[in-house]
Amino acid sequence: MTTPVLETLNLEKRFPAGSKGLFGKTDRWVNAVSDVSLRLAEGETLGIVGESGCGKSTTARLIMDLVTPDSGEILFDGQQLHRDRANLRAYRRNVQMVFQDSSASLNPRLTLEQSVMFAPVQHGVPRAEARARARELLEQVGLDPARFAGRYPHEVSGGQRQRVNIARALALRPRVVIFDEAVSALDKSVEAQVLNLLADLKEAYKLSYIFISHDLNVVRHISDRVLVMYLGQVIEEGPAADLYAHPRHPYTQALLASMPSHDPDRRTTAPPITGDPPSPIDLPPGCRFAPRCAFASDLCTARAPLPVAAGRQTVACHLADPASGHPLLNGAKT
Amino acid sequence: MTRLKPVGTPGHILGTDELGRDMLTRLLYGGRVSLLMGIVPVALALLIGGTLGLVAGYAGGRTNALIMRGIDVIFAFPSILLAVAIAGAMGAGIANALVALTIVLIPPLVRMTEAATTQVRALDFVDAARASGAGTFPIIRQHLLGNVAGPVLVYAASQLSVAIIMAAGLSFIGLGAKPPTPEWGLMLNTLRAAIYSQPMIAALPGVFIFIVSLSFNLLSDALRSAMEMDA
Amino acid sequence: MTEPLLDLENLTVRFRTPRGEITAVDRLSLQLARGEVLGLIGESGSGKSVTLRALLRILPEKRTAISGGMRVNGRDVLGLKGRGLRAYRGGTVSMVFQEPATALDPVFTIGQQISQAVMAHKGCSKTDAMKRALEMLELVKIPSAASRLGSYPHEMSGGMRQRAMIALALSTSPDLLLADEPTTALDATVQIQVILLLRELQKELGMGVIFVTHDVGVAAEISDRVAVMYAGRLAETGTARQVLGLPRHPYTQGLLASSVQGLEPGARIGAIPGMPPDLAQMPPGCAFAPRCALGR
Ligand SMILES: Nc1ncnc2c1ncn2[C@@H]1O[C@H](COP(=O)(O)OP(=O)(O)OP(=O)(O)O)[C@@H](O)[C@H]1O
Ligand SMILES: Nc1ncnc2c1ncn2[C@@H]1O[C@H](COP(=O)(O)OP(=O)(O)O)[C@@H](O)[C@H]1O
Ligand code: SF4
Ligand SMILES: [Mg+2]
Ligand SMILES: [Mg+2]
Repeated sequence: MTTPVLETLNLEKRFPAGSKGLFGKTDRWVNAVSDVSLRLAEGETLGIVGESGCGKSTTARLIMDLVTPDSGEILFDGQQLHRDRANLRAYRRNVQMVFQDSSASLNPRLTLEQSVMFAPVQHGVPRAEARARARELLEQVGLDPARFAGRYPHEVSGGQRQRVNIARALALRPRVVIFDEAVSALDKSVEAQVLNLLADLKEAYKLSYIFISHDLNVVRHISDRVLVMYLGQVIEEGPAADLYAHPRHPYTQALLASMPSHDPDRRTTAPPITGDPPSPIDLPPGCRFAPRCAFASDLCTARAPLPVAAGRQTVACHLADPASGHPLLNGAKT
Repeated sequence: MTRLKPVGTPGHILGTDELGRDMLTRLLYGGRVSLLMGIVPVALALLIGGTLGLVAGYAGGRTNALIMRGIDVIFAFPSILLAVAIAGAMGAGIANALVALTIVLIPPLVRMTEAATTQVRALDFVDAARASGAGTFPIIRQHLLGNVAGPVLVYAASQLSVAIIMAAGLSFIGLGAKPPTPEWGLMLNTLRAAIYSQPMIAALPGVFIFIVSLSFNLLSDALRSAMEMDA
Repeated sequence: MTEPLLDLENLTVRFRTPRGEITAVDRLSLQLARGEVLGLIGESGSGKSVTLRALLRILPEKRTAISGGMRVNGRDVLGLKGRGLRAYRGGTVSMVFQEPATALDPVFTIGQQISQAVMAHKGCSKTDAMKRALEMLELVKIPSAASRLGSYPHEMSGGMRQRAMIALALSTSPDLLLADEPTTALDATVQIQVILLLRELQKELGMGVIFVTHDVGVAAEISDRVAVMYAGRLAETGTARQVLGLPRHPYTQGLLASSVQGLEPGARIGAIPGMPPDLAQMPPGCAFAPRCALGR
């Protein structure tokens, strides 16, 4: 197998929960990300889906090293990331991110051009060259530099701001771009324009994408492979086509079945699962999905399932592991 | 007899004080001292408190806890009491009063800057800048300072009038400027005896204090609305 | 023909803003029968929320000019005043908001909020009102409803808060329920639960519902009829089957084509070029003309 451009091994991050003591001591923790391993191949788009609070953004921030992991490794081009200044600078040139909230992610006091120029200037590109590059990028994301370069973020629409964020992420000529809900706040007609733009840019600059979204339709459209998260863990992963056609994990099945049908004659008749995702502070024992799972057994609450291969997918569920001893596996025989 | 001359005396438009000195001249010179005692402590406190607040807000975590808890301790006393205590311990004199006022003005400025910084720090564009590999200093200069400066400057401008009033207060009770320096607070004190014979003259320094501190408050309000316009 | 539950005739809402007057809703005519669900779709800023707020008469009075006809149960809503208006708001018509976190009062428990609404509109005793609140929480399937009566909004999850918000809106037995993107802030698995719940309650109680959404899929799940808004105007209306299956208006066609639903993965999406117009500077004639492929 070829070396993936980006790989993470068992990333884990907990945040202190709620009120802290005088110097930040706490014994309650939010388990934002537990044991996330992923591989991103060169030129690939990896989609990450999951419900609010399941750890998608934290995973992205861990990869960007905006948050330091409690444990786990990040590998770029097969090389382990060391957190010294020189190493991090080089890494950050290669991995960039586009944030969800297009207005909070641009400095209100800088013009659009200045925002795009900032990073290259920090990396020692002469100002004139950085400005030329910024204008070229603005042009490429569909914003005429003559009209837009000197404007401030509040003078343009949400869709246009998100284009600027994309231009800024590309300004360092990265190889990997992470999109955290980058199109979620946009209107459908603008979202479509931006998705088309992302496809063009990927081809033009030979990029690899990590695309985080709660919109399952959009993720299917853009991704080669998809990773499903639940309460901080990866519960299923595989090629987009296989995963959407044959979801193996009960949660993935429920999540896909929760998508609105788009056809008034074939409406959803019963909710695929009930209840809300439980809190990441008090995790259920065993399989984290067990409290909402229709197939949960005593085994599931006693022992957490490990990821196993199932076809081209990887699934963390006792039902996918013939050796697990889940009662439903040999239920037909008994 | 008395050297006090009423307002409107030819040659002394605003009259003279108890030693026969021209009130207008003394009020104008006193303004210089009072303004100095208002502006200097605020500027110093802005420099020191602003820096501490920026550091606390940007660093977060333990550094933040350390700075902010330290500030809380100072701030536990009412500010005027604290100023009196410090100036009293160091002795009268303009320089000592300046130090006392600076110390008193630091905590609110740290709090204000820290709150503004923490707020801006949480916005994605700061993370985006960090993610681009920029160092701490360029991030603070380019992305934090500009966005924090506005509200902090507005607040500092509103503190100018507080400082002027406190400075006058210190001088009034003999902990600030010493005679014969013309200072409004001190003049209020020395003219106390004139309150029955020439109430207008006795009130004049107070009127000046009032007008100047009101002006600074209006300035602060104007700054605030100017900021809102371009936001 | 019987009288419709809701009859809007050339409803126009104008706002005075520092940048000049804008027409947020422009000559909107719609009818809604009893027991019918109307899905109101359109992009942000198209005037969906303003329409609902005008119907509830909760727009800022000084800066707003409403004209045209607005009748609910045959009564002229624009003529309502004082006590009549208060009985109408929350009694005849009630509303579910997008963000239950901000639409519920943080300092009262769910039970207090529902019972207060019931007492104000039905004039019953406190005990009866609390009983009604419990019934309502059971109706919206909040688990262990009795103990949840004493919960504050921040103690509940997003899905549960939205159920509580629905319980509050339905507690006064309104004839017309206005739902402004009630599921947009919810997770996929919770969203479908809330849609199914609303559908079921609507049938059971026979209410008319206007359900605002920008998600075509959600509209397909809940609506009998669909109305499409663009730049404050009605672009198209008809049964859900007609509008979503065979759209006639180029904007509706564009909106449906810009969805990735049912598209070959990775294929180019048929995006509408450009952006919605600035309401302060509307193009002459059809508002969609500058973006329309047929508009030359
Ligand atoms: N700095 C932080 N301090 C404390 N808790 C945090 C922090 N950042 C994230 N969390 C918590 O960690 C969990 C995972 O958060 P994360 O932002 O990764 O979720 P997400 O999957 O991106 O959700 P969404 O779809 O809502 O964006 C959540 O419970 C969140 O509240
Ligand atoms: N109180 C108000 N004052 C001025 N303009 C408003 C007000 N409320 C809404 N608008 C404007 O009216 C238009 C329609 O808004 P809205 O109905 O909220 O859109 P949506 O279809 O997304 O719900 C927008 O341009 C919005 O900015
Ligand atoms: S391990 Fe058990 S509880 Fe978890 S998803 Fe599989 S069947 Fe359900
Ligand atoms: Mg997120
Ligand atoms: Mg709206």
